[in-house]
Amino acid sequence: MDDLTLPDIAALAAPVYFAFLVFEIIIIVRFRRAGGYERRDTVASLLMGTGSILSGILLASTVLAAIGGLYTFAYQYRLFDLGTSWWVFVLAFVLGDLVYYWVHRLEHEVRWGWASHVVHHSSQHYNFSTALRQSWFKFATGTFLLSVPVAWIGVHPAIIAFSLSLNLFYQFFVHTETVGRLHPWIEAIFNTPSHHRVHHGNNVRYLDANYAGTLIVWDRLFGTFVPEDDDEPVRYGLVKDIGTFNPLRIAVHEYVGIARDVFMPGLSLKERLGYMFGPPGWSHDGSRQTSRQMKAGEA
Amino acid sequence: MDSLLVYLAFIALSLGGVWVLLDRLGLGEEAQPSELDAERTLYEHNLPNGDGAISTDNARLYDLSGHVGVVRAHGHRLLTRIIRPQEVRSVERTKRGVAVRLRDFGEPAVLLITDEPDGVMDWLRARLMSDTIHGPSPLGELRAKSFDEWVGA
Repeated sequence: MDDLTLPDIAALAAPVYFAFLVFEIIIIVRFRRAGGYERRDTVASLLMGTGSILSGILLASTVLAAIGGLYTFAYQYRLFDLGTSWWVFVLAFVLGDLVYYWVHRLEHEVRWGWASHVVHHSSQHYNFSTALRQSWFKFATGTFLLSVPVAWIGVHPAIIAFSLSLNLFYQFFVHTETVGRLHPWIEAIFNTPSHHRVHHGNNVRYLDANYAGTLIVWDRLFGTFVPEDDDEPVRYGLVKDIGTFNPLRIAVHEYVGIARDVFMPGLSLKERLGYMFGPPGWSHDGSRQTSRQMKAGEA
Repeated sequence: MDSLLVYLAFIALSLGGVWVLLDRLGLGEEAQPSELDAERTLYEHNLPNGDGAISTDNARLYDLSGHVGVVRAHGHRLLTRIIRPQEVRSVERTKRGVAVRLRDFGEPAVLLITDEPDGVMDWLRARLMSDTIHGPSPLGELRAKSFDEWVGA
């Protein structure tokens, strides 16, 4: 059982992603649905996605193998023998989705995590290609540690990885403006295009909201849910948008920003750590604003 | 290894296909911001519009007393930023107009497309390359008016 192997759905789904991407372009152009594509933005997003896959391949036998080894180690000392029944897959998916919520939230609230995740938010467009605009350095955030307890409980590491890939596959489909709101019951339970549009907004009221992967119930539970307001259309992108389509600059610009801040002369160790692990927008002299401060200002 | 190469070839072909498709659909053209577009974008980002302004084919520049506000095309969308003199590496003439090179990794250059590069360069130099001691950033100014009042102000 310890040799269990399951497919990585998110990585194998490239043909599906491209088919839906073309389908969305046709829907937008032919039927004038909401949303938009721009050539350089789309290609930048696709190159970020390709780079993300390539970094996974390059690091498969080193960093990713070590992370896998960590899960296997925790699984060896598991609390329960849960096996591989169907309900374990369901349990793994729900627990994995809860872990995803907190990983995602940390990626927004801690600048070191944001340096990786900012890539995904760096487009001013919101379409299926935005879903593929992924970080090349996700492993560096250290957030993989949050899944260790799931293995320790007794969920096989392969099932954890499978659940995550299923979760990411689902999330591809919420990155669209062509779908309005779904049935209220679906909107109440699941992350939907409407909820996730809010998450990608740089309007102050939409900042740091709707972190859900598949189940929006986590946001409702932990107080981060914000509904889409028809009176305030979502503006996509960053609070301070980047002015480049260069994939390398998109991939590392926030790391460069951290390095510049951390090595500023005359700072205390605490201030240097603040620039690394404080919330995005934190500054030692108050010259910048965090999203919480922006929201307080708006209120 | 073979399957990996096939996978990568598929991605490369698909990427090229998407590029061609978007190009054929005219989705590769840059925005050309009108004065109203630019003012609205500044307003949405809570930025001041200053005293004087000039336009190029892809941007509008605002004199913010020691800083320059820029609203420029970034693909289809508009991008705003305030350029401070200390952020400027150089202002250069290019084939299509003027390039303002910046000390900003996320936005290394602002390219201004224009048929009159000399006028734009003079305007920029007068505001960005002087030794004037500049006042506090206008970023701190807060919006308190409606858009119409703001534009008229």
